[in-house]
Parts: sequence; structure tokens; C-alpha cells
Amino acid sequence: MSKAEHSALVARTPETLPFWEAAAENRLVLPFCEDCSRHHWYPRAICPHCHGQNLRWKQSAGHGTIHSIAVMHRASPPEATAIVQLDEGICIYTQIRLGEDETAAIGDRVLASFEQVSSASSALVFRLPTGA
Amino acid sequence: MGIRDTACIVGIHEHPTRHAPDISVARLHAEVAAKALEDAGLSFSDVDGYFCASDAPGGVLAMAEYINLKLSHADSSEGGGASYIAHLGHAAAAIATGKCNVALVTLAGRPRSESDGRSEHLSAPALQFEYPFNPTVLSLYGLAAARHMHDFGTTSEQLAWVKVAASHHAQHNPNAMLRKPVTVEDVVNSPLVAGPLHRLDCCVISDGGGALVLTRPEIARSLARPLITLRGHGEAIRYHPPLGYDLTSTAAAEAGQRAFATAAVTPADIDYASIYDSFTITVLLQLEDLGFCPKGQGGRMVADGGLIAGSGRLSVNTDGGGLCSNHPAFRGGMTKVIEAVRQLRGEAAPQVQVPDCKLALVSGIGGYLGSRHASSVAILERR
Repeated sequence: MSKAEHSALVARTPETLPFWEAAAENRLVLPFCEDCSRHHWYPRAICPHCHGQNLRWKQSAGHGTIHSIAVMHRASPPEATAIVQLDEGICIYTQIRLGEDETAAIGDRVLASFEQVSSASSALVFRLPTGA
Repeated sequence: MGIRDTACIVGIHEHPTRHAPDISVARLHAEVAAKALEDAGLSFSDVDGYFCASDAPGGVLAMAEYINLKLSHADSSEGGGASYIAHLGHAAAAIATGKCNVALVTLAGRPRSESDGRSEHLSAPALQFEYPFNPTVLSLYGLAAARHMHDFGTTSEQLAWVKVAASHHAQHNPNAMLRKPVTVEDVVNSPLVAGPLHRLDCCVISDGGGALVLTRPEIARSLARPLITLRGHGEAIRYHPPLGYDLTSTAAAEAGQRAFATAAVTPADIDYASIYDSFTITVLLQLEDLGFCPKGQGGRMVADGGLIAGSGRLSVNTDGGGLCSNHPAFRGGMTKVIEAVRQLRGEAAPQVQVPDCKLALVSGIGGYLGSRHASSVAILERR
């Protein structure tokens, strides 16, 4: 199954639409609980920390650090799967997009960006900061 | 009321097939059930409790119908490959509370013959944020191995020793898929698959199945088989935490603690251990989390033949495990219980039989390391 087909099968919920609307503008927003002042990942309608429902979307600069990285050698071309920890503390299962001469390792700094998976959906990926 | 000694495992059967292109999954379930009951000296008409997981075609109702079981209790608890170890505790609880007297547990699947659906249910709310990348079991275990190496200095060679031990055991198992002993060099020279994990760090893909029969001790004593009791049991789940992440420990930490507490024994008391080996790293993490060695020391524990029966620190997976023998339905928990019972009965291959094996531990992890996963741990005792 292609990535686009996968994405089409996975339902987006009404509560997460603002995330995808921001994504379409290449902006990363993260759920933040006004009751306990904490972020969480993945976005949901109830705070998993305090179970409050006083949530809002907070803009993120998208800076993070690679917590772990594993190149999937059977993908063509090989894909760098990773867990990235954003500076806000949340961790995201994602992929690192590397240029031809680039390599990445645990501890490296990365920057969020969105890429189109299909005409209707995008995916949160990370790249090495330019000029790093 | 505790779970300790409320139920005994009186019947086991592992299907000898590793490739079943012409047998339906339903028939595999029925065949292993019949053989496990035969092993126990019981029949289908004795069964009043049935336990299976999502590998059962159509679920617990459809399989009960297929076999025509007359049930007072049915349970389809799902914890991935760890389900069948969880079912031991659930069966014991059902027996102890009078819901059933004879419990049957079955597993079967044919991932080698058919690419069957094993993907997580697509309605899981996290998936919209994960699925663009098709997160796989393989990628998360690769990520766990990479982080364990980073934090503790674990090496590919140390991980390879888990496979080397499994292959030493598998040469004595006529049904094992891979019976040729391999070396550390063989493993680290095999192609990289996911991060630091090589092809030989991964379990086999096989068809097959297995079944267990449990009953109350009064009935078990009337049967011809050695008395194997469920002395301790523990379960736990973990998932992607809302903040932070943990790739180097598993729910086996909590499940193990619960199992050891119910059994009132310690890791040092264990004579034999079946440790779910979907990948070499899976074994390493469980050994640490269960307390067989301190966190981060798993590499040292498994190195230099640490898990080889007879000469190692702990005899582990003496049938060759998922790494060499089989992995029916992509779910290793069932065969782990079966080999532990063989060890306690003295029915393991003579070359790998632990002398006077009295206390065995079975540990399974189902799902995705670091993310949604279940752990079940059972401690079995020969009386």
C-alpha cells in the first residue's frame, strides 16, 4: 500500500482538524493544556496528564533533538525512521529527510517541516537545520 | 484470593508444521486443540472455558462454533504475541472463581503462506499522526536497539549472541526452521535491516500454531501428566507517553514485578526462562526488565554464550525460539509457554534439558516497543 493510500484510510477526527489546517500552511501547532500548563503528544480532546478539557493550540518553532534513529534498509530508497524530542518535551515518531551528503545521529538537532503525502494530506517530518 | 496455584497446565501441543499452504487457520486451531487435549488425557466435551486472541479467524465466537465447544466462559483478551501468556492468568482466575473447570487456549496463523492482516486497527486515534510513515514493529525495535547502544554501549556482537544461543538449541529441534548453528560473525555480516538490527537479529516467519489446556489442581492430580502449576502471573501495558519517551525499558518491568510478587520467588530461583524473541533486542530488554541483570547490562549477560543451555548463565528458549524454530501468526507467546512446560516435565530435547527443572519463567511482549505494547509474565512450577 502506498503512503497516500495509508493516509486515506486513517480517519482524522474533528478535534484534530486545527492541527492539519495549520500543517497545510506549514505551521506546527501543538496541544497545550491551560489547566496543567503541559504539552502532550499525540493531539487529543482531553489532556492525558490532568484530564482537563481546557486545551488550546500553541505554535511551535519545531526545534527538536533526535532521540533515536534507525535507517530502514529495505525501503527504496532507505528511509531514516526516528523518534524526535521537540524542545517542548513531547516525542514524535517520524522520519528524518536527509540530503545526499547528510547523515544524522542520536543527539543531532532537527527542524520540523511538512511534506505532501497526497493532495489531501501532509506529514510531519524533520530535516537537519540548513547551515548546520 | 490470589492467583497462585489455582490452576495447572495439563495439556500442551505445538503444531509441527512451519509451512501450511493447504491448511486453513481454523483447522490449525482445531488440530492443536485436539492434540493438546489428547496430551492432557481430556476431550473436547470436558472443555468449558475457551481463550483465544485476534489470530482466531472470526474471533472467539466463530472458533467456538467451528469446534462446537460447550462453554460457560469465553475470553478473547488481546495483547499481541503476549496474549497467550496473559490467557494463563485469565484462565486461572476463571477457574478459581468457578466460571470454568477446563480451559483451552489456542493460537494459529499462516503468515508464511498468506500475507494476512496483522496491522493495528485503523481507528486507533494516534494513527493519523503515525501512519504517513507506516510505523512497523521492525522500525520500533530498530529504534530501541539504537538507543540501547547509545545509552549503555551495547554492541551488535552482544545482540548476536542471542541468535547464536538460539541456533545452538535449534539444532536439537527436528521441527525448527533454522537448525544450523551460526556464529556472531554470521549475524553481524548478515544484511542490515532496521537501524543496527541485521537480518539474523530477526525472528523467522512461519506458519503453525499451538494450544494449552489448564484445569483446577484437583482435576490435574487425577490426570497422568506431571503437575505443572501457575505459581505467579503478572501483566502490564505501556504506550507512547504524552511527554518524553522510553525505548530502553518495557512493560515487562511491571509485569515481572507482579509475577515475582505473586510467586514469592526471585530471578535467582528460576531454572529456565522462555523469553519472547521477536528480535535479539527484545530478549535483552526483557532480561533487564525482569531483573535477571541490571538495566544496561543485558549485553554482558547474553555475551559469550550466556543463554546457552548447560554452559550459560541462564538457559533461554531451548527450542530455538522465534529466532530459529517458529513464530506462528507473528505471535511468540504460545510456543514460549509450551517449551517451558516441556522443560518442567523433563520433555525438552535431551541436549538442552535443564537438569531437575522445577521453576520456569515465561515472558512475552506484544505490540510496539516504546509505543503501545503489552507484557505478560508467568512463573510455572513443577510439583
